[in-house]
Order: sequence, then C-alpha cells, then structure tokens
Amino acid sequence: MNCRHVQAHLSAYLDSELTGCQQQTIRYHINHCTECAREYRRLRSVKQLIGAIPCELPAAHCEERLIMQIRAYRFEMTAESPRKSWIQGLWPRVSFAAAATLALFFFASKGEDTGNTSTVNTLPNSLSVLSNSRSFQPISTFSTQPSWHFDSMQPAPGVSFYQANAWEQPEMIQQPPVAPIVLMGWR
Amino acid sequence: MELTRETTARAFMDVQEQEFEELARRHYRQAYNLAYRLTGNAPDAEDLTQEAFLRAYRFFGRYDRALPFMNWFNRILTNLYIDEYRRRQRLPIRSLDDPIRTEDPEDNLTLELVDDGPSPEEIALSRYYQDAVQEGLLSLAPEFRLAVAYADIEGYSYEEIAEMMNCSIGTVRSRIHRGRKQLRAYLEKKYPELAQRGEEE
Repeated sequence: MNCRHVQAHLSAYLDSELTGCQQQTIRYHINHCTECAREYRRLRSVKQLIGAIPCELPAAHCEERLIMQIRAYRFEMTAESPRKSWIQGLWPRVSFAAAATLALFFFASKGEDTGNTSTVNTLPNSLSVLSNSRSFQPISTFSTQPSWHFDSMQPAPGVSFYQANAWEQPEMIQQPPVAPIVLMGWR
Repeated sequence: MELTRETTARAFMDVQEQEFEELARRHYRQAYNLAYRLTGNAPDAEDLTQEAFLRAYRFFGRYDRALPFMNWFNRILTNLYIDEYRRRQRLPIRSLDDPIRTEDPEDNLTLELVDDGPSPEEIALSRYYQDAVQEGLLSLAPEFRLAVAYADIEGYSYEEIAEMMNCSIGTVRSRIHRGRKQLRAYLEKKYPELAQRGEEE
C-alpha cells in the first residue's frame, strides 16, 4: 500500500468503515509514515471540530408551530376528500335554497295580505324589496306615501299592517321549509 | 381551555396521526440542528425542518417501521435540501436571511480569542469557533456538506448515509473524505490559529 492509496482511505479508516484487515494495514502504515500520520491527524481534527459544535436549539415556538402546521395540513386533506367536498358543495345549495324560500314566502304573503290593494301593484313592490334587501319596505310605497305615521306609530292609511312590518310576518316562521328540498333536487 | 382543546384535537386523530405527532416532537430538535448546520441560519433551518416534516407526514403511510424514524426522515430532508439548493442556485435572488459574512473576520474576533491559549472546551464553546466551522461547512458543495454533517454531527454509518442520500457507499466515502479535506483547507486558510489548535494533542 503506497501513501496515496492510504491517504484516500484515511477518512474511512477514521470512521472505522474499513474491513478489519484494511484497518490494520493502514494503522501499520500510519505508525511508520510521518506524512500520512500528519494527514490523518488533520482529518481527525476536522471530524472532532465538527462534532464538537454544540446543538443549535430552535426558537421556543417552532415545535408547536410545526404541530399546528401538520394539523392544518391534515384538516385540508380531510376537507379535500370526496365525502367532505360533497358537503362543501352542499352549502351554496342550501343557502341558495334558503334565499329562494324566503323570497317565495315574501311573494306569497304579499299576495295574501295586500288583498285589498290591487295585485298588479304587489309584484313590483316585492321585487323592489328583493332588489334592496336591507329595507323591508317597498321603495315605491315609501317614496310616494309614508308607510308609517311616526307620531301615532300606526301604519299609514292604504298600507296594510304586514306590509309596514314585513319583518314580523308570522307565516314566514310557521310554514314548513319545503322549497329548499325541491330546489336541491333540481340541481 | 388549552387542555380541552388539546384533548379534543387528540380525540379526532387516529393512531397513526398521534404517532406522527409524537415522532415529530421527539425528533424536532435533532432535525432542526442538522438543518441549521446545512443552511447556516435560523429562518431557513425552520423552513427546511418544517417542510421536511410535512412531507414526511404526507408519506407517512410508506414509512417502514423496521427503520429508525430519523433514517427515513433524513432521506426526505436530503432530497428537499438538494432540491431547494438547486432551485436557489438557478434563481439570481439570494435570501435576505442569509448571514452577511465580512471578508476579514479578524475585526470582531480579537475580543473572543485571546492568544494565551484557551482550553479545547473554551474553543468548542466559543461562538467564534462555531461560526468558523459553520462557515467552513457552508463553503462545501451541498452533497459534501450533507455527507459530512451526517457522519460527523449525527454520527451515522456510511451505509445509513448511502441510504439517506440514495447513492452508493463508495460515493459516500469519497464525499466525506473530500468534504473533510476541503473543510480543513478552508479553515487552514481562513482560521489558521483554529486549525493549528485542532491539530495538536
């Protein structure tokens, strides 16, 4: 074994990764060759220097954050599974159906309660309510004649009580929710 | 409150998920330390560790229980690290978190390293020494860096390293050997007094 060959194996020798026979050969060579012995010490010192670096500790929050990330990832994964995606796809349908039901009830109650007024007026009024859902009062009625006399807190003449108190209509609560099911069946 | 949330979260996990969380908690520090030595700064080390654990979680079904967890995990970390390294090499942008190293390190070092000979323990504990070795590690090519870190920081056998780095034992041997020699040359050039001291005894 020449020096070049020995020096190529010094790291493996240092890590005891050679066969017993090779280890012995190199040990013998190092004991007799100052140049290779010096090279061996240099490599050993590097190994020791690296090995002696103290452990770098992570910031305190890191570990917990990792666990949270894993859980968030798991949640995402389960949400993407077919069963869950069907549930997710359901929500727009339900909300759509609910909105449609409310609108239907509104039409229906208008038809019943404003029986004394002409049915031709009812439809545009309801539509204007739908288009401006924050105000429960038909805009056209409000602009031409006030629906409330504010001093007496009574509905204005010609305006039914339920039209003025559109949000208090009891039918909206009592009627069973049939429409959502029908609408869901459509899609 | 915190406790109930924790127990509720646990109630919804199956056995495998609990097992993974336990493994992640147990090995986080070790993985972080290795990632820190490979990347050289805390934010990148955190990202690498987290990414590796998430990927490990994703493929946890393929984990063979006959292997130690870290041997399997390090394989993932190795791939991730090499990929990320290559990606960054292609990109012209450098991470803002990279430490800025001055060309002449003597300026801020004279205070820490006094000439009348600190003991080896003092050398090992000094920030100066750590930074020097860390810098030397970062000067190596990523494959050499990984091989040397696995061998000398983590103390794995060549066979295990070959498994983790998906290469032959011969390749591992040559990477470790060349990596150490390069690191040695770097330290001798930049920190001669440190290299000197390391060689004594």
